[in-house]
Amino acid sequence: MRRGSGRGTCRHRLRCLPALVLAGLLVLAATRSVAGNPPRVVSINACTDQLVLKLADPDQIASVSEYAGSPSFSVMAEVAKAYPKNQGHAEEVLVHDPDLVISGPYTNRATANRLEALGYRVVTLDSPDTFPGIRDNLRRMGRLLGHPERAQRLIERMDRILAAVAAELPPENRRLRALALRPNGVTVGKGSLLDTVMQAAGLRNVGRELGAGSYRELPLEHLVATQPDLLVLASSDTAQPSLAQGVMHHPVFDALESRREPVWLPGRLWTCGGWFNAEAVARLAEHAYGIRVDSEE
Amino acid sequence: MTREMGRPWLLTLLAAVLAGLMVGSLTLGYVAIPPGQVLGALVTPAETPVSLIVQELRVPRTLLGLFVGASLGIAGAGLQGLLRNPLAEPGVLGISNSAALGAVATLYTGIAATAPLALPAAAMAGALLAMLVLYGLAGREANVQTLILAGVAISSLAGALISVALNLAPSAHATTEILFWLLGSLADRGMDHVAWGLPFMGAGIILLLTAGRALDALSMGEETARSLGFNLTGLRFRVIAGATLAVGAGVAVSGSIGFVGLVVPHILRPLVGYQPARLLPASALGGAILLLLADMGLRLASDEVDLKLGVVTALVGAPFFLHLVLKTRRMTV
Repeated sequence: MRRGSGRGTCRHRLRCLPALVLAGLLVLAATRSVAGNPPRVVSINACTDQLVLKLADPDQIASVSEYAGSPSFSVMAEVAKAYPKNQGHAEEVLVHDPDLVISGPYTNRATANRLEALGYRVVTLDSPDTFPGIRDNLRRMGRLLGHPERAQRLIERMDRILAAVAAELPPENRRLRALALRPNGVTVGKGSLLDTVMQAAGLRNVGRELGAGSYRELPLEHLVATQPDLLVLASSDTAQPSLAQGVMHHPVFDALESRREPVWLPGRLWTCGGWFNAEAVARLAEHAYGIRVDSEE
Repeated sequence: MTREMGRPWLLTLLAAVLAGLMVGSLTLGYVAIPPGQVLGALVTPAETPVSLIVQELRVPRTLLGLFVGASLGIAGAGLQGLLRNPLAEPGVLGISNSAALGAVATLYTGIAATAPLALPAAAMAGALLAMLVLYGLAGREANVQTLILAGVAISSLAGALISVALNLAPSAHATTEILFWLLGSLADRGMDHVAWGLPFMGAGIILLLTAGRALDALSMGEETARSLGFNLTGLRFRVIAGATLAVGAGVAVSGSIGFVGLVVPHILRPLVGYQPARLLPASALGGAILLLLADMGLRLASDEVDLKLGVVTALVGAPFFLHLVLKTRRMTV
């Protein structure tokens, strides 16, 4: 119907120009995006936001999701301040009339379908839970944004940190048995990004022994029975949690307290897949084995 | 029955309020566009972002709010009349939950991701299947009590299976998606939803409207209705099939939205002189008004909180319903 043809003419940005008369948002776009230039993008997913903010030129970024500005989720919260935010609604995308919309697996299905029906290019990136998956995502994003060399540099830096940690790890039989604790007493096993990070830091994830997948409530009986050497507190806060987080008030934790101090991982380092997961690996390895690697930028 | 013929202006008033709300719903969104531009964008070809937003997002959202709300309202009125039970609503006969179960099945298996039409088709199929099972269980000549009990059983079973799907969902992502879908939303629907949803909802609403006179007779008792020459088996089929089509399609478009079908007929019943035939069109308009109001409210609040439509209708509907119940009690005691 009208949808297809209307959008078709709008692909030529200049013909859309006279009508970009919207509150404050208008000036964008007009002069850019002649064919061949890097695409202007709107990201509507907390994880893809961070990759876009890291890899794209500032004038390529039309809008990122509101989560991009939250230090709890986003390592790019500072950078994100400069850009308009969206809540992932189709209207907010249309207003920017971008060349490319980047979404993630948690994006509302209706929104992605709608944008595609209106003729927008919507690319949905997986949330990877392995380092090969993270490399693929970074490369793909680099290609999409027209900056493959930046993605490559990020991957190389990430791999340098991972290799430096791996080189210092103790032999298999001296590695610590660790248990991840997410808020509300949830643990993780094989198939989760947090497990990948723990493995890379030389920790044997007790969650795997319990058969936990990417999300499993942890009965405290298991905690007592498995007696992990180290607790990894994976919180979504920006500040280090007190030994609280609900379940940890239980007396059975006292039985573990004679062991090591728990290590804290802020949410922004393990929630999304990205180059910053290497920093999480470095933090764990330093806490567990005293390995010091320069992981900061 | 003194007020029987009272308030003939009611439908006109409701229609006028509804028209005003539709304009309001068009001008309200996630991006600020001056009302004048919105109305202009209704008629200009969809080449600019503004007309694209208005024509492809806000118009379908407003139309769907109108028709889903009308479907829920009139189905509630029809079922309350048929079952002569003030607690009847589309959920009671298992229509809502069965449609939701169909949709959840496509989300659970991931079919919804590959074929956009799979979800609404499965929701419709779920609603129709529930209707067949209901007839199979209760039989064509069953009394009202059996019908309600069979409906509650179907509803509970569908609800239990939805819980199983949530419990066993393959990933946290699937759980979230199912959960949010269940809370109901009209966000980012398009004209294609209108195109396939409207025929079902329209047919259901028309079926229910034709049941008015028979429901009037039924309100005086089954014997009276029969002696007046009304075919009660046919009436039952018309009301249940109408509710299934209207509510099934409504759930397919918007997810589960509660309380509209329950509350709206109760609010309007005294105003139409307790006449089912007049309650039906009034409840359609009233349902549309309530749903549009709720959908506008959540967009107004969207900067602060991201509320889902079913949550807002329940938040508004429940206290109001409680108030009504208390008021009726004071009047009767």
